Amino acid sequence: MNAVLGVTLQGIQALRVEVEVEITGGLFVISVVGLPDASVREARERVRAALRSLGISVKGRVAVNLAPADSPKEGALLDLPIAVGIAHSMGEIHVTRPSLFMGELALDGRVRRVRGAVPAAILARDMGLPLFVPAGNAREVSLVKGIEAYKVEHIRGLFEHLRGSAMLQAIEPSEESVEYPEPDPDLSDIKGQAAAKRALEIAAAGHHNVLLTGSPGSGKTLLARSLKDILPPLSDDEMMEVLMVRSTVGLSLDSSRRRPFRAIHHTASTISVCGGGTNLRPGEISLAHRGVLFLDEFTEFRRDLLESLRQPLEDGCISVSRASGSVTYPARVLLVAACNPCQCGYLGDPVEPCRCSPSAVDRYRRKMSGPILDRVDLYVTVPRLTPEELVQAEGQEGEGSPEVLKRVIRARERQWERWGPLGFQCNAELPEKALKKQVGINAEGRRFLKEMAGRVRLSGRGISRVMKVARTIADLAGDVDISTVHLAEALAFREGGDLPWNR
Amino acid sequence: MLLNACGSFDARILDLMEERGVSLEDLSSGSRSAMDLLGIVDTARERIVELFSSEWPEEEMERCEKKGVKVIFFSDPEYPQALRGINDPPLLLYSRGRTLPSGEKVAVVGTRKCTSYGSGCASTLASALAGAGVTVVSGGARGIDCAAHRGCLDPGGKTVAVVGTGVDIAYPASHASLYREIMEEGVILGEYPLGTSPRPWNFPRRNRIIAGLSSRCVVVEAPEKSGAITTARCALEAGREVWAVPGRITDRVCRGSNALISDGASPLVDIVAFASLVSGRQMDLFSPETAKSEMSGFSLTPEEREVLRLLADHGDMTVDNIATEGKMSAAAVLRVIGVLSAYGLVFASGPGRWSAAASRG
Repeated sequence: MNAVLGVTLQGIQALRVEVEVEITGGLFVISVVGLPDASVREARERVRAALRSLGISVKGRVAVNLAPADSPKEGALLDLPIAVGIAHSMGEIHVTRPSLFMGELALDGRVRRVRGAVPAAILARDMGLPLFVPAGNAREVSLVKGIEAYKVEHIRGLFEHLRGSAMLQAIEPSEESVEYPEPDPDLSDIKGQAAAKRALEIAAAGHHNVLLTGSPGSGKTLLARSLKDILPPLSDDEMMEVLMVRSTVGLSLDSSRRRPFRAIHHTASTISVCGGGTNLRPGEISLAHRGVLFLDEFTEFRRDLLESLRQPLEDGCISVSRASGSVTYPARVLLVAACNPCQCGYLGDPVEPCRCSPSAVDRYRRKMSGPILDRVDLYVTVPRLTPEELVQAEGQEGEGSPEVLKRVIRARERQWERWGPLGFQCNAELPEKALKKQVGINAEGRRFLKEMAGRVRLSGRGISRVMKVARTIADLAGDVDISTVHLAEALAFREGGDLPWNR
Repeated sequence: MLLNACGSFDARILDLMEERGVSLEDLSSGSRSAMDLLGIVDTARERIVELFSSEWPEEEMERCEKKGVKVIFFSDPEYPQALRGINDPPLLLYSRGRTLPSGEKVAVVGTRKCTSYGSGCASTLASALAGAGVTVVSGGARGIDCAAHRGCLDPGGKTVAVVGTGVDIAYPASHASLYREIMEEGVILGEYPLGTSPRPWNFPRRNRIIAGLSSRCVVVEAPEKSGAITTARCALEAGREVWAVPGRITDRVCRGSNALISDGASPLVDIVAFASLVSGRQMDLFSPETAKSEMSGFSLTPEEREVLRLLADHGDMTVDNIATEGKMSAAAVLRVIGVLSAYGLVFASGPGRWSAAASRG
């Protein structure tokens, strides 16, 4: 194996790239082969200038081969390994131990921050190789444990390190931040809305997707944002997955274990949400991986965008295929959708009159179904509190997020114990078969469900939703079997339970 | 005679024909003198001649038979007596469903764009009337009409929908299931030929039938210019009692109905009293806890009774209100709401708001 190794990104995975350099006599030219994209080809100029700043002037025909030759290479992060490779083959330095290099070069030899440092760090960890990263990426790399990594400020420092004259500073693994960050917003900051808070607790515990319906100003967005703080903190593996995605798009990283929360505006393009583009970046749904994806003004979203979210919601990952290749991004999200009850937003409001024509209400209602809402388990209506009600709610904040979080974590543990051996993690993922056999519902509950299903005309899907939600409620309460009380509460969140004010 | 229904004539033409000595044959031959006698203009004459020479009536009867639609002619004994009394009774009625229920009928009408208060009132009122054995007549439209029909059907009452389209058309289309339910217990009436699609000018005309069929007409919520006000006017012309449910004076949708009150319509302030008045029976239904738990075998827990009582006392409440007033946890309230809404004892009166349904099972 060639000693000089670089990385390129494929999806959110880092791919090892061997940098081979051959210099022969002749007029000066640098050619890069091995499916480089434009930014890699331009590396020639940056590399030459950076080397010149160290007093190394490159002469002759330089052929740089990036292996494997058949996978496309992208990004400026290959500047540094190319420079090291050229210097190595010129005999300026000797890289004896195979190492991974990544970084973009400035003309004066400084090394700039690049995206994709976390995937590279994970590759280095898996291969057991030392990694040289730009100083700007040191923080994110420090989050990956068990690697040997060095931060490079300037290419001179790197060369001195490789020559053995001065050592680079190694990156210490950063201390685990034990403190869970302050909830923002805390559930107790939200006035009233006990029903919606309870729904969020159930959603967090069972990973159920939620639809919030309510008039403008009822606090839907605030409620949705509070969800991320009652979700259990990221586990080590989940943390790495989140870091990899964030690092791939070059977003700043924080070491807290809070789950991501991404809100998409309804004008977002399909590519920005699902991923893709000319150089295949992950989209918002992948950035929300292991966290919350919030679709505000749900009914305003274009149909094709919602349609394209269906598959990732089902599979927990999204495959993006373009001319430049096909990659799979993780996309396991908890979906929170929010919408108004009608176009003007005041249908059924006790104070404001609704200005919609009946047919406009019908039209709007029709939008509130379809591929995505089929995946929603909890239908929650959020009242817009009148000023009197707000005053009344003063002083009754209810529980704070940390207490709710404790219950959620316990409920998740119970689910994990029960479903872990069967290969899934939470109640929302329950397949139909397990729902029938292993959900654990007592005889009285079964009778009750049968009666209620007849009364409120629940569809087959509706029944399984109620059962899943009831399972989560039972888990929150710590009960082994689903009984009438759990089913009754689940019924309050059923689809269509919110409809009659429309008639 | 069937032919007359294709033009826009009403039953007055029959009297007129008799009075002026014009026979059907004269009409079908298109004799100008006969037309002049009846005051029919030329364009209408052409249409009549054309229709008389066509096979349309036979075809229409065949279609009716196929679709299970009954045609009741003005001369038939089944033709509702009450309708004969109005100024311009329809020549015939298309009817789908059961036969027209006999006994007391009350029209409950109002705007399509109602508030939750309005639809709640309409539905409660209709339920109370149904409980008292009174038939509720309305127009099968959205809003108040729909609430009235549903409110009447829920406790198993009989209801009549007088539609402004062909009786085989569900308009709005989302009411197809409502129409099916109405036909099971009650009847859908209309005067327009099968397949007539919704036209704005047809709806006010059918309002005279709504008013004519009923002994009393209740306007729940109506803005100043609305079909419900037309119905009230027709009811007045036909000598029916007009009642109106008082609404908030600031709401546009209540202007018309409130104006009716100030013009002398009886204000409907007590649903139970009204239902007793109409049915002539003493009614005692509005103590929800007792009335409801006794009937239809719902055995309610004390918690459920408490919530029901709170909702009946306060009207529309959020889960927060109920939790505070009833000193229960939100989860417990939701549990109760889940059960009560499935029983149909409470309904969502707005996003996140609940009201007691005052139906009687």
